Amino acid sequence: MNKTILQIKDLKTYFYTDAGIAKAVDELNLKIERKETLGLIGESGSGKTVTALSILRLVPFPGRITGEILFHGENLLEKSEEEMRSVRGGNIAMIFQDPMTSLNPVYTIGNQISEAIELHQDLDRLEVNKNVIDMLKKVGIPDAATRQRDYPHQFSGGMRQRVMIAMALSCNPELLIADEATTNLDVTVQAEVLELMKNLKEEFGSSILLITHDLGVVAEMSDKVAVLYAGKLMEFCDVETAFMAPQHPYLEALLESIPRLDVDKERLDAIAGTVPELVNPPQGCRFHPRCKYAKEICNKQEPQLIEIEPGHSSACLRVDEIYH
Amino acid sequence: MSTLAEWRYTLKMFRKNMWALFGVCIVITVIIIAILAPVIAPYDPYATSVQSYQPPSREHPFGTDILGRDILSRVIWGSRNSLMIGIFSSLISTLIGVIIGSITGYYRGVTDTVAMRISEVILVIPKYFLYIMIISMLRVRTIGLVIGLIGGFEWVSTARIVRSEFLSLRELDYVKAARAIGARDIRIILLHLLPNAMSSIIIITTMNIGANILLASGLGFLGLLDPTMLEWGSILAYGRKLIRHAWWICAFPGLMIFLTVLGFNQLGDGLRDALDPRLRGRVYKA
Repeated sequence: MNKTILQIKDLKTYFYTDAGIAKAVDELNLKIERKETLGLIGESGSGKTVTALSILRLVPFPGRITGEILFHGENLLEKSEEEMRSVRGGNIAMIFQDPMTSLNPVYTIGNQISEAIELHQDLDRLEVNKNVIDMLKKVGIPDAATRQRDYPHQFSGGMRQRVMIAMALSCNPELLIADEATTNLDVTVQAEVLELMKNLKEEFGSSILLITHDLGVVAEMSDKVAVLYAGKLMEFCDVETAFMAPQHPYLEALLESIPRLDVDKERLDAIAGTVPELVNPPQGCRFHPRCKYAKEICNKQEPQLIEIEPGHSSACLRVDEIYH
Repeated sequence: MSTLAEWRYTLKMFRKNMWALFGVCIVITVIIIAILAPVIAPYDPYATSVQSYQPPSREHPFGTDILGRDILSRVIWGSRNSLMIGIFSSLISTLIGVIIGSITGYYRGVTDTVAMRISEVILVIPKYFLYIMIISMLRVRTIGLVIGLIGGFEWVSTARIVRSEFLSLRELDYVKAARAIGARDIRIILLHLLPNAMSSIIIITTMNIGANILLASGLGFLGLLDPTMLEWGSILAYGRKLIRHAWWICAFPGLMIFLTVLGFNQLGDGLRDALDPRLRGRVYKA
């Protein structure tokens, strides 16, 4: 019984800067089903974090969000600030990239988790404290009852990220946004934290929006994959299709740039060039200057996202010529 | 939700810090002297006698001034007004400074621009002339006016320091994280940002206490305070021209100002170290 919990329609988050309008996210359409993990991938500056912040309506000035973000059918963009506050943390929680700075240094970690609980649930102090210790145990902090009285600087990076996860899950949110949550951790800790998130997702029945530029993490965690490039959605499909049969030159190029053990290669294929600036994106398809299949049509016409088969969309003008 | 154990730990950290303890001792002693002035002062501070310009002796431990008044008694009574001016004026300026600094630093935008331009205007005006003008215009010289004046104009540096702290703190991830768990602005300002800016606030408040005592002394020296209002600065100022003949008139009130300012600064330093969990570890290791 799949049920859509979050649907993003024509989301546009523009930053009105002195240099011009930076279209950080442009006409984005996404859907997250219940208990599903959606991997949102793309290079730095492709608009992944802005998408996450747009969902919680935390985009900093001078950003403006238009479009529709339907959470259980209700448009978050039409809610009042007051209503949004109960959504944040209560229904949708977020884990940030850097565990070293995401915790307030002057409070104990127990304090910070109880803050999240107290803001959304009406419990007395003892119950709150019991929940805090429960959560810390669930995320695998040994000796939780004692450690909750410690300050963030007494924890390692991996431990702090566990604390952040405990904080995010403490109110049992339906959607968890993990913004590069494991990027700053070393590989072994990263594996542990990913495993933890997977297990907790099963236990709590939450959906996850997993933002990363690590394709390995996506392969490990996600059910579906959305590829973002310069604020535009390039491809949307399930995870097997994404890795086995990509239908967009950008995703294809991304996959080719992963080092592989089974292919003998002198040099790794990298995508030439860099992500374009968002104030003046290239005409036509935003990827065409770096695309090896680019033809004249690509810099004239802007591709639309089209469904090539059920559950698989691609925004490439030449998708039929290249892949069929 | 600071538990009792945690406060005890803070206290323990504080006690380990020798300088902080020294500061506390001085501050407490000065406050006790001020409170008990009528009991411990050996003479009436205003009573004149024929024994003028007496150097320190058994009878007059701090000597006497031109009118034969006992310097020790004058210093003891003077501590009342000096402390009152110092403490209350800096509390007022801290309060105003923290409110203005946190609002401008957190919200930025127009509020920030307007408040900062106003603060710059205040910074540009020479403070002494402003006080002289206001005091002579109002023709009031009570201690309340002095406290209000100093508190009402010295908030600028506090506000600018708090603002700059907030400007850098507001960009940190834990502020974003607090917003993402649904905390409102007032909660973020009071519970997340202010505690992190606390060390600067404590330091500047205690430094202001000393500076404001000196400021009031300057006003007293210029004759802008009620001449019958005893206060360390005025005692010192009156003795200044006689320093070569009667050093004790300046020396003792000066020493008191020095010790009190030092005491408050050390107290502030110690408080900062004991209250900040990151610095606690440092003290502990040392």
